[in-house]
Amino acid sequence: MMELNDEILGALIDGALDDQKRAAVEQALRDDPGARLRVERLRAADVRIREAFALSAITAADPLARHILDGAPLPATTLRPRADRTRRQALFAAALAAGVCGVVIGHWASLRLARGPAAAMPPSAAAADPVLTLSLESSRSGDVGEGLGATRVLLSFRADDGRYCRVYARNRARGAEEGVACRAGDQWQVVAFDSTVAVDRGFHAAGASELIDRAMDRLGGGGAIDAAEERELIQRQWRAPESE
Amino acid sequence: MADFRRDLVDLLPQLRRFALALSRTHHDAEDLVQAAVERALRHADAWQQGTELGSWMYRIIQNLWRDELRAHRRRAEPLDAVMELAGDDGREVMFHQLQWAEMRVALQALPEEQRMVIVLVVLDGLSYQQAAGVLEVPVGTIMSRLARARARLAASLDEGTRTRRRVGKE
Repeated sequence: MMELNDEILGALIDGALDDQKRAAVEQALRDDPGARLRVERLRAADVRIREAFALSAITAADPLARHILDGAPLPATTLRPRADRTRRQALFAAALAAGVCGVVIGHWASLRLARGPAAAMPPSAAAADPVLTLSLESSRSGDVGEGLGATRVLLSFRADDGRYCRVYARNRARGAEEGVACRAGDQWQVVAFDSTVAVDRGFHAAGASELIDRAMDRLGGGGAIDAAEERELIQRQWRAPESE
Repeated sequence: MADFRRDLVDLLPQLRRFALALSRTHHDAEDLVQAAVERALRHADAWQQGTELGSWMYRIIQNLWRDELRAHRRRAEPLDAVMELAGDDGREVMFHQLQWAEMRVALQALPEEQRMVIVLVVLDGLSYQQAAGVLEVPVGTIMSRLARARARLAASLDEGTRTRRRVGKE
Protein backbone atom coordinates (compact mmCIF):
# COMPACT_ATOMS: atom_id res chain seq x y z
CA MET A 1 0.00 0.00 0.00
CA MET A 2 1.27 3.46 -0.89
CA GLU A 3 2.54 5.57 1.96
CA LEU A 4 0.69 8.89 1.98
CA ASN A 5 3.15 11.17 3.73
CA ASP A 6 3.07 14.96 3.72
CA GLU A 7 5.54 15.18 0.82
CA ILE A 8 3.28 13.10 -1.43
CA LEU A 9 0.15 14.89 -0.27
CA GLY A 10 1.81 18.26 -0.81
CA ALA A 11 2.86 17.26 -4.31
CA LEU A 12 -0.74 16.26 -5.02
CA ILE A 13 -1.97 19.65 -3.78
CA ASP A 14 0.64 21.45 -5.88
CA GLY A 15 -0.10 19.49 -9.04
CA ALA A 16 3.45 18.22 -9.05
CA LEU A 17 2.65 14.51 -9.62
CA ASP A 18 2.59 12.92 -13.04
CA ASP A 19 -0.68 11.34 -14.17
CA GLN A 20 0.19 7.81 -13.10
CA LYS A 21 1.38 8.84 -9.66
CA ARG A 22 -1.57 11.14 -9.13
CA ALA A 23 -4.04 8.38 -10.00
CA ALA A 24 -2.31 6.04 -7.54
CA VAL A 25 -2.40 8.65 -4.78
CA GLU A 26 -6.06 9.42 -5.40
CA GLN A 27 -6.87 5.72 -5.27
CA ALA A 28 -5.00 5.37 -1.98
CA LEU A 29 -6.83 8.38 -0.59
CA ARG A 30 -10.19 6.78 -1.27
CA ASP A 31 -9.23 4.04 1.16
CA ASP A 32 -7.73 6.33 3.78
CA PRO A 33 -10.11 8.82 5.41
CA GLY A 34 -7.36 10.03 7.73
CA ALA A 35 -5.17 10.99 4.79
CA ARG A 36 -8.14 12.71 3.11
CA LEU A 37 -8.63 14.78 6.22
CA ARG A 38 -4.91 15.56 6.22
CA VAL A 39 -5.12 16.85 2.64
CA GLU A 40 -8.01 19.11 3.60
CA ARG A 41 -6.05 20.52 6.55
CA LEU A 42 -3.02 21.22 4.40
CA ARG A 43 -5.19 22.84 1.73
CA ALA A 44 -6.91 24.98 4.36
CA ALA A 45 -3.52 26.16 5.61
CA ASP A 46 -2.58 27.11 2.03
CA VAL A 47 -5.79 29.11 1.63
CA ARG A 48 -5.19 30.97 4.88
CA ILE A 49 -1.62 31.75 3.99
CA ARG A 50 -2.70 33.15 0.62
CA GLU A 51 -5.33 35.29 2.32
CA ALA A 52 -2.88 36.53 4.92
CA PHE A 53 -0.25 37.42 2.34
CA ALA A 54 -2.45 38.70 -0.47
CA LEU A 55 -0.56 40.93 -2.87
CA SER A 56 -0.99 44.66 -2.60
CA ALA A 57 -1.52 46.65 -5.78
CA ILE A 58 1.03 49.12 -7.05
CA THR A 59 -0.26 52.68 -7.07
CA ALA A 60 0.84 55.47 -9.38
CA ALA A 61 2.35 57.25 -6.39
CA ASP A 62 4.50 54.29 -5.35
CA PRO A 63 7.95 55.89 -4.96
CA LEU A 64 9.86 52.80 -6.01
CA ALA A 65 7.72 52.34 -9.13
CA ARG A 66 8.26 56.01 -9.97
CA HIS A 67 11.96 55.55 -9.49
CA ILE A 68 12.02 52.57 -11.84
CA LEU A 69 9.94 54.22 -14.53
CA ASP A 70 10.95 57.86 -14.28
CA GLY A 71 14.16 57.91 -12.27
CA ALA A 72 12.45 59.71 -9.37
CA PRO A 73 14.81 60.02 -6.37
CA LEU A 74 14.56 57.53 -3.54
CA PRO A 75 15.24 57.87 0.17
CA ALA A 76 18.45 56.31 1.41
CA THR A 77 18.03 52.77 2.64
CA THR A 78 19.61 51.27 5.70
CA LEU A 79 20.85 48.44 3.50
CA ARG A 80 23.68 49.15 1.17
CA PRO A 81 25.48 46.87 -1.20
CA ARG A 82 28.42 45.15 0.46
CA ALA A 83 30.86 46.90 -1.85
CA ASP A 84 29.67 50.26 -0.55
CA ARG A 85 30.23 49.54 3.10
CA THR A 86 32.99 47.31 4.28
CA ARG A 87 32.56 44.99 7.18
CA ARG A 88 35.35 46.85 8.96
CA GLN A 89 33.64 50.21 8.62
CA ALA A 90 30.52 48.72 10.16
CA LEU A 91 32.57 47.17 12.97
CA PHE A 92 34.40 50.39 13.70
CA ALA A 93 31.18 52.36 13.69
CA ALA A 94 29.57 49.90 16.10
CA ALA A 95 32.66 49.81 18.30
CA LEU A 96 32.88 53.57 18.36
CA ALA A 97 29.23 53.83 19.34
CA ALA A 98 29.86 51.34 22.13
CA GLY A 99 32.91 53.22 23.33
CA VAL A 100 35.33 50.37 22.71
CA CYS A 101 37.17 51.73 19.70
CA GLY A 102 40.41 53.68 19.84
CA VAL A 103 40.28 55.56 16.55
CA VAL A 104 38.98 58.75 15.05
CA ILE A 105 37.00 57.79 11.99
CA GLY A 106 36.62 61.32 10.80
CA HIS A 107 40.09 61.18 9.31
CA TRP A 108 39.35 58.30 6.99
CA ALA A 109 38.37 60.06 3.84
CA SER A 110 41.17 62.59 3.58
CA LEU A 111 43.85 60.18 4.68
CA ARG A 112 42.78 57.52 2.25
CA LEU A 113 43.75 59.83 -0.58
CA ALA A 114 47.23 60.32 0.82
CA ARG A 115 48.07 56.63 1.20
CA GLY A 116 50.53 54.71 -0.84
CA PRO A 117 49.87 51.21 -2.20
CA ALA A 118 49.21 48.43 0.27
CA ALA A 119 52.15 46.35 1.31
CA ALA A 120 52.32 42.65 0.73
CA MET A 121 51.89 40.66 3.92
CA PRO A 122 52.73 37.14 4.96
CA PRO A 123 49.54 35.09 5.46
CA SER A 124 50.30 33.75 8.94
CA ALA A 125 53.33 35.39 10.41
CA ALA A 126 53.64 34.76 14.14
CA ALA A 127 53.50 37.79 16.36
CA ALA A 128 57.04 37.30 17.57
CA ASP A 129 57.24 40.90 18.69
CA PRO A 130 56.85 40.70 22.52
CA VAL A 131 55.48 44.26 22.76
CA LEU A 132 52.81 43.54 20.21
CA THR A 133 52.03 40.17 21.80
CA LEU A 134 51.64 41.74 25.23
CA SER A 135 49.41 44.42 23.85
CA LEU A 136 47.20 41.94 22.04
CA GLU A 137 47.02 39.77 25.10
CA SER A 138 46.22 42.31 27.76
CA SER A 139 45.22 45.71 26.37
CA ARG A 140 41.66 46.88 26.16
CA SER A 141 40.58 48.44 22.89
CA GLY A 142 41.53 52.07 22.83
CA ASP A 143 44.07 51.84 25.64
CA VAL A 144 47.71 52.67 25.18
CA GLY A 145 49.22 51.15 28.27
CA GLU A 146 52.48 52.21 29.83
CA GLY A 147 55.42 50.38 28.44
CA LEU A 148 53.53 49.27 25.40
CA GLY A 149 55.11 51.85 23.16
CA ALA A 150 52.90 53.22 20.45
CA THR A 151 50.88 50.04 19.98
CA ARG A 152 47.15 50.38 20.34
CA VAL A 153 44.45 47.74 19.97
CA LEU A 154 41.54 49.20 18.06
CA LEU A 155 38.85 46.58 18.47
CA SER A 156 38.23 42.88 19.01
CA PHE A 157 35.89 40.51 17.23
CA ARG A 158 35.34 36.80 16.77
CA ALA A 159 35.93 35.34 13.32
CA ASP A 160 33.69 32.84 11.58
CA ASP A 161 36.03 29.99 12.54
CA GLY A 162 35.70 30.84 16.24
CA ARG A 163 39.07 32.52 16.69
CA TYR A 164 39.25 35.76 18.60
CA CYS A 165 40.88 38.47 16.53
CA ARG A 166 42.04 42.00 17.23
CA VAL A 167 42.73 44.93 14.97
CA TYR A 168 45.74 46.92 16.07
CA ALA A 169 47.76 49.92 15.00
CA ARG A 170 51.19 51.08 15.91
CA ASN A 171 53.57 53.80 14.95
CA ARG A 172 56.96 52.44 14.09
CA ALA A 173 60.23 54.07 13.19
CA ARG A 174 59.61 53.45 9.50
CA GLY A 175 55.98 54.54 9.60
CA ALA A 176 52.54 53.52 10.77
CA GLU A 177 51.29 49.97 10.64
CA GLU A 178 47.86 48.47 10.95
CA GLY A 179 47.17 44.79 11.31
CA VAL A 180 44.84 42.00 12.32
CA ALA A 181 45.98 39.27 14.66
CA CYS A 182 44.05 36.20 15.70
CA ARG A 183 44.50 33.97 18.69
CA ALA A 184 45.50 30.46 17.60
CA GLY A 185 46.08 28.10 20.51
CA ASP A 186 48.24 29.97 22.98
CA GLN A 187 49.68 32.36 20.45
CA TRP A 188 48.69 35.42 18.54
CA GLN A 189 49.23 35.24 14.81
CA VAL A 190 49.26 38.26 12.58
CA VAL A 191 47.01 37.33 9.69
CA ALA A 192 47.33 40.65 7.85
CA PHE A 193 49.18 43.89 8.20
CA ASP A 194 49.68 47.00 6.17
CA SER A 195 52.66 49.20 6.86
CA THR A 196 51.65 52.00 4.51
CA VAL A 197 48.78 53.49 6.47
CA ALA A 198 48.85 57.23 6.93
CA VAL A 199 49.61 59.20 10.03
CA ASP A 200 48.12 62.60 10.57
CA ARG A 201 49.64 64.90 13.20
CA GLY A 202 51.07 61.85 14.90
CA PHE A 203 47.74 60.09 15.08
CA HIS A 204 47.25 56.82 13.34
CA ALA A 205 44.09 56.77 11.24
CA ALA A 206 42.51 53.34 11.33
CA GLY A 207 40.31 52.23 8.52
CA ALA A 208 42.52 53.43 5.69
CA SER A 209 43.82 50.06 4.58
CA GLU A 210 42.05 48.10 1.89
CA LEU A 211 44.33 45.18 2.66
CA ILE A 212 42.96 45.02 6.19
CA ASP A 213 39.43 45.43 4.83
CA ARG A 214 39.84 42.35 2.69
CA ALA A 215 41.38 40.36 5.53
CA MET A 216 38.49 41.20 7.82
CA ASP A 217 35.98 40.27 5.16
CA ARG A 218 37.67 36.90 4.80
CA LEU A 219 37.64 36.34 8.55
CA GLY A 220 33.94 37.18 8.76
CA GLY A 221 32.38 36.82 12.19
CA GLY A 222 30.17 38.92 14.33
CA GLY A 223 30.21 42.49 15.54
CA ALA A 224 32.81 44.16 17.69
CA ILE A 225 33.14 42.61 21.12
CA ASP A 226 31.92 44.99 23.79
CA ALA A 227 34.05 46.29 26.66
CA ALA A 228 32.66 43.93 29.31
CA GLU A 229 33.18 40.81 27.23
CA GLU A 230 36.61 42.02 26.22
CA ARG A 231 37.62 42.39 29.88
CA GLU A 232 36.47 38.83 30.54
CA LEU A 233 38.39 37.53 27.56
CA ILE A 234 41.56 39.25 28.73
CA GLN A 235 41.11 37.63 32.14
CA ARG A 236 40.52 34.24 30.49
CA GLN A 237 43.55 34.79 28.28
CA TRP A 238 41.32 34.74 25.24
CA ARG A 239 40.04 31.23 25.76
CA ALA A 240 36.53 30.49 24.55
CA PRO A 241 33.86 30.10 27.25
CA GLU A 242 33.78 26.62 28.76
CA SER A 243 30.18 26.21 27.67
CA GLU A 244 31.34 25.97 24.04
CA MET B 1 15.00 48.74 -21.28
CA ALA B 2 11.47 50.19 -21.08
CA ASP B 3 9.99 46.69 -21.01
CA PHE B 4 12.49 45.67 -18.37
CA ARG B 5 11.45 48.57 -16.18
CA ARG B 6 7.76 47.89 -16.72
CA ASP B 7 8.21 44.22 -15.84
CA LEU B 8 10.15 45.21 -12.75
CA VAL B 9 7.29 47.43 -11.58
CA ASP B 10 4.80 44.63 -12.17
CA LEU B 11 6.93 42.36 -10.00
CA LEU B 12 7.11 44.75 -7.05
CA PRO B 13 4.21 43.23 -5.06
CA GLN B 14 5.76 39.75 -5.25
CA LEU B 15 9.20 41.08 -4.45
CA ARG B 16 7.88 42.90 -1.40
CA ARG B 17 6.10 39.78 -0.18
CA PHE B 18 9.22 37.69 -0.70
CA ALA B 19 11.38 40.26 1.09
CA LEU B 20 8.92 40.46 3.98
CA ALA B 21 8.99 36.70 4.40
CA LEU B 22 12.77 36.82 4.37
CA SER B 23 13.42 39.80 6.62
CA ARG B 24 10.22 39.66 8.72
CA THR B 25 9.80 43.40 9.05
CA HIS B 26 8.18 45.82 6.63
CA HIS B 27 10.98 48.32 7.04
CA ASP B 28 13.72 45.85 6.14
CA ALA B 29 11.60 44.37 3.37
CA GLU B 30 11.12 47.75 1.72
CA ASP B 31 14.82 48.53 2.01
CA LEU B 32 15.70 45.14 0.62
CA VAL B 33 13.47 45.54 -2.41
CA GLN B 34 14.75 49.04 -3.03
CA ALA B 35 18.36 47.90 -2.85
CA ALA B 36 17.57 44.96 -5.14
CA VAL B 37 15.87 47.23 -7.66
CA GLU B 38 18.80 49.62 -7.65
CA ARG B 39 21.20 46.75 -8.23
CA ALA B 40 18.98 45.31 -10.99
CA LEU B 41 18.83 48.68 -12.77
CA ARG B 42 22.61 49.04 -12.55
CA HIS B 43 23.16 45.55 -13.92
CA ALA B 44 20.20 45.25 -16.25
CA ASP B 45 22.49 44.08 -19.02
CA ALA B 46 23.39 41.04 -16.89
CA TRP B 47 19.82 39.76 -17.02
CA GLN B 48 19.29 37.40 -19.93
CA GLN B 49 16.11 38.02 -21.82
CA GLY B 50 13.92 34.96 -21.95
CA THR B 51 14.85 33.92 -18.43
CA GLU B 52 12.61 34.54 -15.46
CA LEU B 53 13.05 38.10 -14.25
CA GLY B 54 11.33 37.15 -10.99
CA SER B 55 13.82 34.37 -10.27
CA TRP B 56 16.70 36.74 -10.98
CA MET B 57 15.27 39.34 -8.62
CA TYR B 58 14.62 36.78 -5.89
CA ARG B 59 18.24 35.75 -6.04
CA ILE B 60 19.40 39.36 -5.81
CA ILE B 61 17.19 39.88 -2.76
CA GLN B 62 18.52 36.74 -1.11
CA ASN B 63 22.12 37.73 -1.77
CA LEU B 64 21.57 41.22 -0.38
CA TRP B 65 19.94 39.82 2.72
CA ARG B 66 22.75 37.34 3.28
CA ASP B 67 25.27 40.15 2.94
CA GLU B 68 23.31 42.19 5.44
CA LEU B 69 23.17 39.33 7.91
CA ARG B 70 26.86 38.63 7.51
CA ALA B 71 27.86 42.25 7.80
CA HIS B 72 25.84 42.99 10.91
CA ARG B 73 25.17 39.60 12.45
CA ARG B 74 21.53 40.60 12.51
CA ARG B 75 19.03 38.40 14.20
CA ALA B 76 15.44 37.84 13.32
CA GLU B 77 13.25 40.71 14.39
CA PRO B 78 9.78 40.24 15.82
CA LEU B 79 7.04 40.32 13.25
CA ASP B 80 5.68 43.82 12.92
CA ALA B 81 2.88 43.05 10.50
CA VAL B 82 0.42 41.71 13.02
CA MET B 83 -0.48 44.96 14.67
CA GLU B 84 -1.27 46.57 11.36
CA LEU B 85 -4.31 44.40 11.01
CA ALA B 86 -6.41 46.34 13.51
CA GLY B 87 -8.62 49.17 12.37
CA ASP B 88 -11.70 47.78 10.62
CA ASP B 89 -14.98 47.31 12.40
CA GLY B 90 -17.23 44.29 12.28
CA ARG B 91 -16.94 40.91 13.94
CA GLU B 92 -16.55 39.00 10.70
CA VAL B 93 -13.74 41.25 9.51
CA MET B 94 -12.08 41.06 12.89
CA PHE B 95 -12.39 37.29 12.93
CA HIS B 96 -10.63 37.01 9.57
CA GLN B 97 -8.05 39.52 10.60
CA LEU B 98 -7.22 37.43 13.63
CA GLN B 99 -6.86 34.38 11.45
CA TRP B 100 -4.63 36.26 9.04
CA ALA B 101 -2.55 37.54 11.92
CA GLU B 102 -2.16 34.01 13.21
CA MET B 103 -1.04 32.79 9.83
CA ARG B 104 1.41 35.62 9.41
CA VAL B 105 2.91 34.84 12.77
CA ALA B 106 2.92 31.13 11.95
CA LEU B 107 4.73 31.71 8.67
CA GLN B 108 7.25 34.04 10.19
CA ALA B 109 7.93 31.53 12.94
CA LEU B 110 9.16 29.00 10.37
CA PRO B 111 12.87 28.64 9.65
CA GLU B 112 14.00 30.84 6.78
CA GLU B 113 14.43 28.02 4.27
CA GLN B 114 10.87 26.84 4.91
CA ARG B 115 9.44 30.37 4.63
CA MET B 116 11.11 30.81 1.28
CA VAL B 117 9.62 27.61 -0.09
CA ILE B 118 6.13 28.51 1.08
CA VAL B 119 6.36 31.93 -0.55
CA LEU B 120 7.69 30.61 -3.83
CA VAL B 121 5.46 27.55 -4.21
CA VAL B 122 2.27 28.27 -2.27
CA LEU B 123 2.06 32.04 -2.72
CA ASP B 124 3.80 32.66 -6.04
CA GLY B 125 2.80 29.37 -7.62
CA LEU B 126 6.26 28.39 -8.82
CA SER B 127 6.78 24.76 -9.78
CA TYR B 128 9.10 22.66 -7.66
CA GLN B 129 11.72 22.88 -10.40
CA GLN B 130 11.49 26.68 -10.53
CA ALA B 131 11.69 27.01 -6.76
CA ALA B 132 14.68 24.66 -6.74
CA GLY B 133 16.33 26.92 -9.30
CA VAL B 134 15.74 30.07 -7.25
CA LEU B 135 16.96 28.55 -4.01
CA GLU B 136 19.68 26.51 -5.69
CA VAL B 137 18.72 23.26 -3.96
CA PRO B 138 17.49 19.90 -5.32
CA VAL B 139 13.77 19.35 -5.98
CA GLY B 140 13.70 16.74 -3.22
CA THR B 141 14.82 19.39 -0.76
CA ILE B 142 12.00 21.64 -1.89
CA MET B 143 9.52 18.82 -1.28
CA SER B 144 10.77 17.99 2.19
CA ARG B 145 10.96 21.64 3.28
CA LEU B 146 7.47 22.22 1.94
CA ALA B 147 6.11 19.21 3.79
CA ARG B 148 7.63 20.33 7.08
CA ALA B 149 6.45 23.89 6.60
CA ARG B 150 2.90 22.88 5.71
CA ALA B 151 2.72 20.55 8.68
CA ARG B 152 3.67 23.35 11.02
CA LEU B 153 1.29 25.80 9.41
CA ALA B 154 -1.57 23.33 9.60
CA ALA B 155 -0.75 22.72 13.27
CA SER B 156 -0.79 26.47 13.90
CA LEU B 157 -4.13 26.75 12.18
CA ASP B 158 -5.54 23.97 14.34
CA GLU B 159 -4.12 25.56 17.46
CA GLY B 160 -5.61 28.93 16.56
CA THR B 161 -9.01 27.36 15.97
CA ARG B 162 -8.89 25.57 19.32
CA THR B 163 -7.87 28.76 21.08
CA ARG B 164 -10.71 30.77 19.58
CA ARG B 165 -13.21 28.05 20.52
CA ARG B 166 -11.88 27.97 24.07
CA VAL B 167 -12.04 31.75 24.37
CA GLY B 168 -15.52 31.81 22.84
CA LYS B 169 -16.79 29.40 25.51
CA GLU B 170 -15.37 31.41 28.41
